[in-house]
Amino acid sequence: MISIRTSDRSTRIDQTIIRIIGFTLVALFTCTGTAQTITNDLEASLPGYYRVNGDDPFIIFDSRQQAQQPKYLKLDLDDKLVGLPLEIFFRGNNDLFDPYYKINFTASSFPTAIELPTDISFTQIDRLRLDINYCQDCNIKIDQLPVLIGQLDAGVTLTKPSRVQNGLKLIDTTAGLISTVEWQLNDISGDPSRFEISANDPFLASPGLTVSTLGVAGVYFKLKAPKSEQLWNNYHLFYQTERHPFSIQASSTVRIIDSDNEFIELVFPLEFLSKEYPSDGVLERIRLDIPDILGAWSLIEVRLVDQQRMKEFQKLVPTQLIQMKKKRPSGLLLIKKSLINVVSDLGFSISYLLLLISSAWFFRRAYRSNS
Amino acid sequence: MPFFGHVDLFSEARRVFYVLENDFLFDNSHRFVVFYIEVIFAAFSTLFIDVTDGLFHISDPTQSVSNLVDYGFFLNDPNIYRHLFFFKLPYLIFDIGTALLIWKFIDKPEHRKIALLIWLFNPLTLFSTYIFGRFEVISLFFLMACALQLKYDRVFFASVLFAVALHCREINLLYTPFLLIALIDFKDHWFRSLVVLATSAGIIAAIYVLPNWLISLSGGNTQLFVNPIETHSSDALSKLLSLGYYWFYPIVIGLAALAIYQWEIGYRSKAERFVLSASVVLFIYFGFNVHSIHYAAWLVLFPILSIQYGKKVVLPFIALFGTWIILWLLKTDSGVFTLFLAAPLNTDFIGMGHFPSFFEQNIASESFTLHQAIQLTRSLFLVIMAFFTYRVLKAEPKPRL
Repeated sequence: MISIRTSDRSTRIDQTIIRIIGFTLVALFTCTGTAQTITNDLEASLPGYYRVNGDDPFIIFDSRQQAQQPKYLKLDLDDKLVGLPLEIFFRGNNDLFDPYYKINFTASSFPTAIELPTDISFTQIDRLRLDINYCQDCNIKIDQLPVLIGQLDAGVTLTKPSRVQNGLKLIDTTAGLISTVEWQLNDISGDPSRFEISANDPFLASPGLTVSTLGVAGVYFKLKAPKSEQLWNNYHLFYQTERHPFSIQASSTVRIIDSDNEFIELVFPLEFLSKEYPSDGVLERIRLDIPDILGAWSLIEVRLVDQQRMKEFQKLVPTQLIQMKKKRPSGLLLIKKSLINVVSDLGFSISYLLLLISSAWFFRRAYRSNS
Repeated sequence: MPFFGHVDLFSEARRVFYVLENDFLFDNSHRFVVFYIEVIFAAFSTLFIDVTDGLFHISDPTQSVSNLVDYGFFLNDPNIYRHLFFFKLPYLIFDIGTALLIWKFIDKPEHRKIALLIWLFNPLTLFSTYIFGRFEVISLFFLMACALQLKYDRVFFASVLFAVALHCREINLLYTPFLLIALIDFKDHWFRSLVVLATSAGIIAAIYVLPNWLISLSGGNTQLFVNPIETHSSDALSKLLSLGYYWFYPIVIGLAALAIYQWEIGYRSKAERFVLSASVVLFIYFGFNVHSIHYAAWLVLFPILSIQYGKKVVLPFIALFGTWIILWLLKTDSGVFTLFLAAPLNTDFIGMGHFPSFFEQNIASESFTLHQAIQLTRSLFLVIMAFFTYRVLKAEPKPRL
């Protein structure tokens, strides 16, 4: 698995972070609740009741601790919030709420207990922020403050978070393995360990990775693929970052020959992942589009390759490769890049230049002698 | 030259390498002169290029037209510049060859210089050959050689070269009746003229059908790259022959009038009659149909040769170049000449979007739309063609005594 450690990402604060921090600070200064609660886009009506009156409703509160080793966060909210996707933000290293420190969940009933990440510290969760999304013009009752508990009480349902982010992960220079469970499959039947293509747009998309793009140089795939009727087959990798969803401008395509080997090993270089300006800071998800070949497939191994190990994996990068850019260079930058590309084939450049010079000389001479 | 190439060039390269890799050297009779020239140069290029496996692979030859993903692999190949260079090398050679023949065709030194300058530096053939990357100059070379043989009264050699030109571009068929009329020597006995005409027509017909016949006879596949379910070409031909295109009426009328004119000037030399009528054939054609951007390269050769006969074509040429650039700036789109490497005027270089979108945003109004601007420029193109026709057909003023 990718090793996890919180990182100082202050230089890579994106718009979302700024927005969240901004709203948090605004809420701190314009608090409308009690000493324990601060709200934003929530208007206090009757005691314990709040009406959503904006686009970014949230409430910040101090959590109460009822256990030495808290494992769950117990929430008793309004039943109107049942079935809605909710977010709990906790604090990162900089002591502020940050989009990379959060728990996403959807409760089926209240009261409920949310499982906390095992590597979380109490100082991160002594103050929490609950974001109430998808509840426009709601009037909700919040009279019970959340409680940190060590074990489940009777009558309290357990809610498994749909996503937990405890900071950004940095790619591990030795492993970089990505689990192959819980991948989203499209036009594919089965699971990643054994699947078949069922329609004409087959792809596998990873669950949330939330890996820093720092040092990420490529993605390695090991697959078991059935024999193809085509000699050459295309594989297409998309990557989603904090700035954009899966898009053709952030993707790479490779073409490989169909072989009798049992396994296919591929490396997609991600040259433009962090090189473009503005750069992407977080690799959120990856998606592999596979060719439409009937038969039994398996996704054996997926791994992020760091820059130091890319040399080892270079031989697995197919020669036929297209790396798309979000922004094509233009003007002087394009001319400079074109020149670099041309000069990279030095033998060709020199021959071509000599040909141009000798042709011009020959023509000038012929023109003068004939006229 | 090696830095641009339209997707059509890649499709052509795939067909060439398919033939080389599979040893289908005696198949494909379509434009076979151009094709074999390209095959020879592609084979030669492999001495200097380590061709990436599968780069030119096509699983089904009848589906040889490239899609953008395959084209993308080609553009990203480490040897892209070498491939483009060698693929266009025959075009350069035939371009220079045409320049030399123009030099030989025109007698007066001051006329020669003008003709050569127009040929070497006109944007139409430069763009079509070295940026778009199409083979128009090969066809023009054989037409040029045909005109030169006519100048020296070598009628049968001219017929052979014309037949070769027919194997380069189908549009050259338009010239056939005008070449045959030009071959008639009105000073000769009618029987001798008839024999010459019949022999020349026989040579052209024989050479035109021979490759197809030989390939069929040897069991080769003349339809190697033809999509059996694609009926676009045959539909278009049926429509054309049934006068289904509105632009075809004036062309038929114009060509008929031109044939009568050519008969009437029978006292002039064979080469002059052919050159003048071949020029006007295309003025009539392009007056009503501009087709694709690179086809305008066909327009260049014969008006240049008309300089030999004292025709003043410099001004019409300047007007043509200007109008052609404006027309294709307005008519362009991603699929025409702004695609990837064939993109000297596209967003990447000028950083301001395609010209049509710039026009829509900054110039167009409700009363003057992009469509109207295109139609206006096309009308201007027709006017330029009329101007050219006037200058080419205008009799040389007799010197005052």
